[in-house]
Amino acid sequence: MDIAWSTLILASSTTSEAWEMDDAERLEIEQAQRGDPVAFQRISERYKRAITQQLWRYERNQEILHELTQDVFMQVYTSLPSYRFEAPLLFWLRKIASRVGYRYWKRQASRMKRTVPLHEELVNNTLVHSEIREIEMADLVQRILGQLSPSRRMVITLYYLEDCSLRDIARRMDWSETYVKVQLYRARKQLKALLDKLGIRDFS
Amino acid sequence: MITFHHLIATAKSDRAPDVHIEYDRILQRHESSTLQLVPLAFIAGGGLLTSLVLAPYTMPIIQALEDPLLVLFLM
Repeated sequence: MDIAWSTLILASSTTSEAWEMDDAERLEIEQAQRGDPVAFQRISERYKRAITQQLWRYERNQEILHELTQDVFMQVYTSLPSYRFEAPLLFWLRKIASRVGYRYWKRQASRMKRTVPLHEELVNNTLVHSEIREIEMADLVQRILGQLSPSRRMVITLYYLEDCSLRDIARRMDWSETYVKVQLYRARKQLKALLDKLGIRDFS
Repeated sequence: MITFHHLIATAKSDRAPDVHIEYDRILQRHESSTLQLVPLAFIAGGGLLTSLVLAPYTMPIIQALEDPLLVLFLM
């Protein structure tokens, strides 16, 4: 089952090759690049849903999600003149969103100091062993991944939650493929140990 | 018992809440960050101009420092 699942993930990779941009969209982007706020607003509204969905995997607090979304589109507005139509706009936007999320995690990691280990907290709250709602399960994933370092968390998030291939992760984060492979290997090892403590099975 | 695959599938299908983008705030921040560059450009320009004006006096000192014998003599 694991092999089939991994194959499915690799097959649905999000590469930016072999794509064509609609003329109307190109024109709109060019207008936004020249500083047209209306064109920028139209583009942002078109991609807002995809970007907030991506950021929701980085932070589940709605107020922070709002701020992160603002940050992403602020950076988009500033950097749009440097967009060269070499990849789909969504690929470029996702890259910005990933970096905003990564920086946010790094800030969080330097501030946060956990006193009670996660597995003890969860076992005490009987969260893992009782019937839990889907929203709580999504929270649980974030809390488990939150135990990893920002770079490992990013690799796991992009690989498992955003269905990116190793190459896509390397391109999105401007990391080497070797670095991504090493981070993924270490993250899986750490994650497996964490999941074992929580009594969660089927991880390979 | 929960499995890892179940957790990941649930997290992937979890929908984000709607978020409103404040375009006015984006434009204001962009304008203020552009304005912040103006004094920096003045400082950098002023520094460049000063170094050009003082070049006839500073160049012999720099050249002297590059000559190890002269440096030894000065010491």
